[in-house]
Amino acid sequence: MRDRVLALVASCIVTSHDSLTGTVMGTTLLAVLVVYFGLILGISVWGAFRTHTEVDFIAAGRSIGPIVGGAVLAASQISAGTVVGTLGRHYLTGVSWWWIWFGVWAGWLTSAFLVAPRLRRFGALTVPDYIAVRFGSEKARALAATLIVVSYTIYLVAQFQASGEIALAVFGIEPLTAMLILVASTAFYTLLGGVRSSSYIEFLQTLIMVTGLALAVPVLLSHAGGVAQSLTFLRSLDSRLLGWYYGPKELLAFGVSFGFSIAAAPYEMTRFYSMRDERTVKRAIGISIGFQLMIGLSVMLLGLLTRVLFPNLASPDQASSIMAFEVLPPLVGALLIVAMLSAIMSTVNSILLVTGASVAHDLYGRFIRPQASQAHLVMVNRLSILVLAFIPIYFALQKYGDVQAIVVAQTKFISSFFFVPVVIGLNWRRGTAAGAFAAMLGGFLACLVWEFTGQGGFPVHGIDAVEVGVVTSLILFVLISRLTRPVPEENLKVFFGDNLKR
Amino acid sequence: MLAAALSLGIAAQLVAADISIEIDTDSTAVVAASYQIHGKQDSLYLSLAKLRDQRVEFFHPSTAPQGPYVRESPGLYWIMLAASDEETVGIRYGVHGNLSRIPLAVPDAPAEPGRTQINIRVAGVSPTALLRDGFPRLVREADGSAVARLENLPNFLRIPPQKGQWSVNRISDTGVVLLALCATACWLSWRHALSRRMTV
Repeated sequence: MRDRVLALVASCIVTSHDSLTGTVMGTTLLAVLVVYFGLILGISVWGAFRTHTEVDFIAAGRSIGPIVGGAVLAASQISAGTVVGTLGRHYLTGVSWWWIWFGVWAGWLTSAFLVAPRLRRFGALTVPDYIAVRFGSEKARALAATLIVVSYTIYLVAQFQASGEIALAVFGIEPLTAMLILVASTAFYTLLGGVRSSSYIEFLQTLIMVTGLALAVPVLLSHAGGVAQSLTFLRSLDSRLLGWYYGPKELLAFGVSFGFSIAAAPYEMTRFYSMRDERTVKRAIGISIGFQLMIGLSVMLLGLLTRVLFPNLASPDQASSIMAFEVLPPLVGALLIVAMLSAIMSTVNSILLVTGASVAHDLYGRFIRPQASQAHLVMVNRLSILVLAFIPIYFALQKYGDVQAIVVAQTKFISSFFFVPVVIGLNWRRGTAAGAFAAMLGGFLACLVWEFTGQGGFPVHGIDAVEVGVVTSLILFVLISRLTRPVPEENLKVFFGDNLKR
Repeated sequence: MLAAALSLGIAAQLVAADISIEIDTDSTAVVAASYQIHGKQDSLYLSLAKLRDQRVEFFHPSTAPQGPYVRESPGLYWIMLAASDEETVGIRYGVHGNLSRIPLAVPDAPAEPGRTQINIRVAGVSPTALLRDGFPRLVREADGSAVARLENLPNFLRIPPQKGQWSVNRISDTGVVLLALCATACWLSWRHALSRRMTV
C-alpha cells in the first residue's frame, strides 16, 4: 500500500522538479538536505569507530537507552506510507482511520508484555537465534533466516521502485540514479556503523518527523481559517469525514492485521537486543507509542486540513506532496520532505540490518564458517548489506507491477510466519521444533491461498488473510507440538526458568 | 449524494480553470470563473465554501441561461449548473464582507495530475502585500495584478499579509531556525557536561 501510494504521488507531481529549480523552495530544500546528510555522515563515522564485534554491529553493544530506543522503534515502523499514505487516507475518509492506531498499539503492548522482555533477557542477536534456541532446531533457524531475507528483499524492491518514481517527479532524477543515491546513503551508514549509528540516526529522523509534521499543523490551520470553520466545512462536504467512514468490522480487520505484524516483525524485534535491559525495552516501547501518537495525530490533522484547502484532489495520495510544495513555507516544507525521506531511509535501514544479520550471523556464521572470528563476521555482515541493498534495484527497475499487493501481502506473510512461533512460543513451554516448522510454513501457505486465490478474501468473507494465516499457524503449532517430542529442558530454561542471561 | 460524487472517481476531468478576482473595495470582490471540463456530465456541481462574516451573491452566468441552482448547507453552497454542449462553463459571484479569504467554486470534476492548469488572477491586491505568504502563493505581474498558477484548485484565496506584518509562514520558518539552534545548544551542553563528568 505504502509503495503504491509513493508511486501515485510521484506520478502526480510531474512538473514539480521544474518549479523546484531556481525557486526559494528549491534552494532551501537543497540547503536542508546538505545539513541532513552531513549529520548522517558524522553520526555514521562516529558509530564506525565504536564498532568492532558482532555485538557492536548487530546490537550496538547493547547500549541503547529508552529514549533513543523508543525513537528507533517508531522510525522503523513509520515509513513514507504513514506520511504519504495515511495522510491521504485521512484526506479521503476523515477521522475514522485513526482508530487503526489502536490495533498497532495493541501489537506493541503485546510485544511489551509477552515478547520483548523475554527476547531481551535471552540476549541473542537475531530472531532466528531465538527460533534456534527456543525450539532446539538449527533447521528452524535456517528456515526463519531464509524467510526473512526473501520477504524483506521483496519489500525493499517496492520501497526502491516507489522512491525512484518520486525522485524522478520531484527532483528530475532518473530512477536508477535515485535508487543508487538511496542505496549509497542508507546502505552507507548501515554498513559503516551498524545498529549503533543507525539508532542515533533514527533518533534524529524521528525528531525530524515529529517536528516537521507538528509545525505544519498550525500553518494549515491558519490558512484554513481556524478549527470551527474547518469543522463546519468538512461536515458539510461529507458528514462521514468527522464520523464513521469505516465500519467497526473493517477497522478491526485492519487493526488486527497491523497489530499482528508489529508484535512479530523481525526488523523491530532485533532492535530489542540492542537495548540495555528488559526495563529499557519496556520503557522504549512506551516512548515509541508516544512518538507514534504525536505523528499519528499530526498526520490526521494535516489530512483533514488539506481537504479543507483542496477539497477535490484527483488522488488522496497527492495530499502530502501538495501540502509540502503548494502550502507550506520553504523551511517547513523542506523539513516535511526530509521527514518523508527519513521515513523511507529508516525503514530501508532497518530492513537491511535484519537481512544482513540473517545472512551473516544465521546462515554464514552457523552453517558455512562456524569458526569465523568476530571481525570476519562483521565484515561478512557489511558485505551482505551491500549485496542485499543492490539486488532489489534490478527488480525495482523491471517494475513487475502491483507493488501494493506485494507489500501488503509481505506484511501479512511475516505475521503468518512469525506471530505464533514468537508470541506463543515465548509463553507456552510445550511448543516444539516440528510445531514451529509447521506453524511457519502452514501459516504462510494459508495466508497465500486466502489472499491470492479464488477464495475472495476479505471483501467476500470479511476475514483478512492475516487472520487466516495466524489462526492456521496457531492450530498447527498446538496440534503438531502436542504430537511431537518436547524441546529439551536446557533450551526452555533460557526462557521459562531461573537460568536467565542478563 | 453530492458529497459522494465529489469523493468517487468521476469520468469527467477538469482540464483548465481561469479565475479572475477583482477586489473593488475593502469589503467587495467580484469573482468570474470559467472551467474547461473534459468528459460529458449531465450537470456540473460546484462547491463554494461559506466563510465567516461573508455574504455571497450569485450572478446570472451567460453559459447557463437557466441560472445556477444553489443549495445551502452550514459550511457550503452547492451549485448545480445545467448540462450544455459546451466544454467550458462559467460562474460569476460577488463576495461581500470580510475579504481575508475569498471562496473559489470547486467543480466535482477533479484535476488531471500533471495536465490541468489553474490560473487565478487577482486585481486590487495592495502593492505592499507579501504575495508569497498568501494562499495560494501569488506572483506579481507587469500589470500590477497578482497571479497563481497551480495544478489543483484550492478552496479559497487567502489575501496575503502586508509588508511588515508577521505571517504564519514567517513565524513557522523562524520557529524551525530557533528549534534547530536550541537543539544544537542542548546537544553541545550535554557533550560539555559529559566530558566534564569523564574528566572528574
